Order: sequence, then structure tokens, then C-alpha cells
Amino acid sequence: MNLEVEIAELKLQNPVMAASGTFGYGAEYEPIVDIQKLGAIVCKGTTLEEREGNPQPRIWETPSGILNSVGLENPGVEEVIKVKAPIWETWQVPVIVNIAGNDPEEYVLLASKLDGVKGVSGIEVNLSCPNVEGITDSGENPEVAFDITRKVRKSTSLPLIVKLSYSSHVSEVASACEEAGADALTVMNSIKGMAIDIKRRRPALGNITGGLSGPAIRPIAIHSVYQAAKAVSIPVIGCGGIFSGEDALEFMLAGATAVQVGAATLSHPRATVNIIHELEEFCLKENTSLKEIIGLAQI
Amino acid sequence: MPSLNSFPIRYKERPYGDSCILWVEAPEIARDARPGQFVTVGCDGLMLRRPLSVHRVKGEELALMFSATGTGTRWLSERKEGERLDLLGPLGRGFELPPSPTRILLIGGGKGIFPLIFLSEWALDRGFRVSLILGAKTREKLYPAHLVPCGVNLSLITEDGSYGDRGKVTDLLPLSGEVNYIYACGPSSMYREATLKLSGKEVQVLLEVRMGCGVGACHCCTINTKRGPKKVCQDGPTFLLDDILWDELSL
Ligand SMILES: Cc1cc2nc3c(=O)[nH]c(=O)nc-3n(C[C@H](O)[C@H](O)[C@H](O)COP(=O)(O)OP(=O)(O)OC[C@H]3O[C@@H](n4cnc5c(N)ncnc54)[C@H](O)[C@@H]3O)c2cc1C
Ligand SMILES: Cc1cc2nc3c(=O)[nH]c(=O)nc-3n(C[C@H](O)[C@H](O)[C@H](O)COP(=O)(O)O)c2cc1C
Repeated sequence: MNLEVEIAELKLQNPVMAASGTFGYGAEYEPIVDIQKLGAIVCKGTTLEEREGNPQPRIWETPSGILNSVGLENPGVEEVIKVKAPIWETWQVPVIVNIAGNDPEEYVLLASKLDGVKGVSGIEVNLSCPNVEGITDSGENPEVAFDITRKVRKSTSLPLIVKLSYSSHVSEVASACEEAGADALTVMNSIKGMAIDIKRRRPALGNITGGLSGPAIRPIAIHSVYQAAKAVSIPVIGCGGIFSGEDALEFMLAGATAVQVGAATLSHPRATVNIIHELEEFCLKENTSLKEIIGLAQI
Repeated sequence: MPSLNSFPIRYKERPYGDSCILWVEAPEIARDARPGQFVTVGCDGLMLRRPLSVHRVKGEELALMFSATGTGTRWLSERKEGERLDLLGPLGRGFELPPSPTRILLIGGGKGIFPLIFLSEWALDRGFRVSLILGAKTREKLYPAHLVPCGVNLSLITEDGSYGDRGKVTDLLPLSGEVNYIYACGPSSMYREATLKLSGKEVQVLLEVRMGCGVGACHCCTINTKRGPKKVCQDGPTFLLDDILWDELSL
């Protein structure tokens, strides 16, 4: 069955990608998941310098959701290039590096450093990490999104994906990124939220707020994908609460060309490969290719 | 190497109060598990897997012990023999035993005893002499002495004096006689006390921190230690008491 989809020059054997921050650098899951079966892996958010991340606790369960405030703990881009990329180079599955900066110049530096690195198949620009001060609203602001995307575009020839945050005017942000030269958009990141630990009478997370992911945000993500896909002609990658093949189909019908799976991996480490399997079964049963269903629900 | 699979529950025990032991036939995990390692359990309808220590191992079966206090542990306590459990494990770095058999001291406060039973069986099997100080708030919350492996030199203490001595496990420290290898598991208040009473000794403790993936991928359980940032799920959950920064532990 043909599950192939294309994101810029990237040919994915299927549309199911592991979302940034929930799949580490891929190798962590090798003992239990057939990671080479995935469409692509997006690695943990990478910054210029090493980051220690936020105080504990960093994760909290909510109804149908997960709040996290990891705060972009990562070893920094040099380490990723030196230690992780050589491993990725030996893999069949493409790995996309998710990058986060404090200002446009940091994004540019990150992108230039990653350009041409063997083992790196693309860049995903995280415009919206809800856990880090400074870049919080760039994903909601079309001008800032345009500026960062255009600058990054100029500094890399790698496939360039821009990952948006929730925005009430997602169409405008999406169009701005397309105009600035993005090859694809990931819609969307986790949404800022908060919980209180009634036992400690304190905010549940050490960082006070965190990003909400999981099925709790799925209808919001579907709506965002629906709007973004209408606004642009570049591929949209749907993300937010995808736990099953049916969820993935929902996103594709809304207009997504591919999907990313985050929180589901924490619940079921093999969620990604299970979803691929379910999509395969769907195509067999309906005698269709996945490409044919993209955006069918757009009215 | 961890395995991920669904395994049948073979036997269920309710030893005391709201505690529950599930014996699961999980050959891959039982074979590789070491004391101090844990599994994560997928609970129906819940987003996060629950980390539970390996409580005991017998052949191809392993036991998980917990008290039903929250949504996940309550769901688990309602599982029946014959049903299957979604387990990922063994995970983390277990306790380290000295290279040759000697005397070791185990300190279990409250639920902290659960992982120490596996450690005491493992150590006895390898010729170690094992002393265990076991304590709880009340007699009802005390792990039953008859379930402690025979051969363990046991001291019991309850905070209200309803069984054994009256006081906290740390009140019995330092135990008379020379012992250089100490393993403690319990609430962090117990670890703080132990730090004062056992300074200069090498004490290994087990930390409970909220975690996401269990395999070192999501960075949700990272804590700062005197030896830099560590992922509890991968670099722990066992740590040297001396390396812990107390401000880091706010479950
Ligand atoms: C390495 C490790 C080993 C453990 N071994 C055992 C054991 O053998 N027996 C046992 O009874 N308990 C053990 N715990 C604690 C156990 O994970 C919690 O009791 C359990 O997660 C509570 O889940 P719940 O749904 O009942 O509680 P809820 O409060 O409803 O859980 C809500 C969320 O908080 C998390 N959480 C709550 N308490 C803890 C805690 N103390 N530590 C980590 N996460 C927590 C849950 O996993 C869940 O994600 C261990 C924890 C760790 C980290
Ligand atoms: C623990 C955790 C860490 C995350 N880290 C990142 C990150 O570093 N960069 C990023 O762009 N998104 C990060 N995300 C967001 C996810 O990639 C995804 O966009 C979001 O969780 C919504 O999808 P989901 O509901 O499938 O998880 C993280 C999510 C979680 C749960």
C-alpha cells in the first residue's frame, strides 16, 4: 500500500512523524520501537548553547492531556551535530532538527550551523515554545514569524518547516511563513496552560505554566489545520492529540499532508508505528492512497 | 534492554490496608530486572504511564506492589487475575551492590519497603548479610514481617508505637556494628534525616519524580545533582544520598 507523502524535497515513506520533545533523538526508542518504519523523526528542541531547562516538577497529567514545562533542556547544537547527526546518517528514517532561539539572529546561527550536516534532513523552526521567555508570542505574530522565517530561509538550503503555536489568526501567520519561504508548516505546538497541586497548594509545575498537549487540544488543532491549509499552498503537518489512525485521518481530511505524534508516545511508546499500521489498513479497506484524502473535508 | 508488551496477571494479593501486589508473567522483564529498577504501567484512559518498582521476581514472574491512593493505582488495584497489563521495563539503573558479599543495611520507610524486598532477596541469594530497618506511621501501614524474606535481620518501628519500637526509622540510626553499604527508600523527609545521621557513609537512595517517557527521551524527570543534571528514569532512580540537592525534590 502506498502511504508516501512529500514535504518539500523530503519523500516520507508514510505521513507519521514523531513530534519534537517526545522522541528524544530517536535512539532512546530503538529497543522498543521499529523507528526505521516512521515517516520522519523530529528531534528535541535544539538551542545554540546547552540549556538546563526548568525546575521540577515538569510534567502533570490533566483530563485527556499532559502539561509539560521541560524548558528546552538540550545539549546545544554543537553536541547535536557532533554526537547525534553521525548516528542519524546511518538511518533510513529522516531526522529533522527542531530549533529554538531567543531572537532571529539565534535562529539564523542555528540554521547555518545545521546546513549541510550529514544526517540532518530538515529543519523545524519552533516559533512558539510556551516554556521559554522571549520567544513566546513570535508564533502568534505574523510580522515576527515572517522575519524569522525569511532570515532562516536565507541561511539554509535544507527543507524548512515552521512550527506554529495556537493563534486566533493562524491563517495570517501561516501565509506570512509561506511568503517568507517556508517549505511546510507544522500546526500546532502545545497550548499554554496551568494546573494547581491542591496538596501542596502551589502551581503544579515548577515553571508555573506549561504546554498542554494530548487529545484535550485535538479539536483546536484540527480547526487550526483546517484554517492554515486553506490559507497556504505549502504542505501542512497536523499535530495535536493524535493517538490513533482515525485521529491522523481526521487531520489529513482537514488538510494535513502529514502528521506528528507527541503525547501519544508517552502513553503508548509504539503509538507512531501503530498509527502507521492503522493508516495502512484504512487504505487497503477503502482502496485509496493517503494522498487522495488530503483536504477532502475542506468546504 | 527494556521490553514493551502486555503480560498476564497471574496472582493478586491484598496484604494489608489499601496495598496490592500483582504477580505478572513477564519473562523478558523478570529475566533482566535488577533491584531498584522499575517498570511503567499503561493504565486505561490515563495519559501517563505509572512508574512502579520491581517488588519481587520469581522465575518468569515479577511482582509489583503499590497502595491504591490515586487514579492509576486505584485502577490497577481493580485488575483481576487473567487480565493483561501493559508493561515497559526494566527501566533505570538499579542499586549497586559491593563486589563481594558483606553486610548491608536497608532502610525502608512506609511504601519505601516495596523495592527493598527484591534487593534483600537478591543480596541474600548472593551471600550478603542483610539488616533491614522497617518503619511506618502505624501498625496498619507496616509491611507485614512474615513477607520479609527469611534470613533478613529485621528491626521494626512505628511512629505511634503500635508495633515494634516507637519512632521513625532514622531514630534507629546509626545501627550498632560496622556497616558501610546502606540502601534507603522512603519519603524525602526520611532522606534528610538520614543525611544527618549517616554522614560519611555511602548511602544509595531511590527517588520518585514525576516522569514522562521512562526511557530518557522527554527530559521531564531531569533533576540537578551535585554531579550535574541527571534523568531520574535513566541515570536513576537510584542516587547517592550525598549527591542530592534537596531543593530539587518537590513532587
Ligand atoms: C522510579 C519509581 C518507582 C516507584 N515505585 C513505586 C512502587 O513500587 N510502589 C508504589 O506504590 N509507588 C511507586 N512509585 C510511585 C508511583 O509512581 C506513584 O504512586 C503512582 O504514579 C501514583 O499514581 P496514581 O495515578 O495512583 O496517583 P495520581 O496522583 O492520580 O497520579 C497523577 C500523576 O502523578 C504521578 N505521580 C503521583 N505520585 C507520584 C510519585 N510518588 N512518584 C512519581 N510520580 C507520581 C503519576 O504517575 C501520574 O502521572 C514509584 C515512582 C518512581 C518514580
Ligand atoms: C514532553 C514534551 C516536550 C516537548 N518539547 C518540544 C520541543 O522541544 N519543541 C517543540 O517544538 N515542541 C515540543 N513539544 C510539543 C510537541 O512536539 C507537540 O507539538 C505538542 O505536544 C502537541 O502534540 P501532541 O498532542 O501529539 O503531543 C513537546 C511536547 C511534550 C509533551
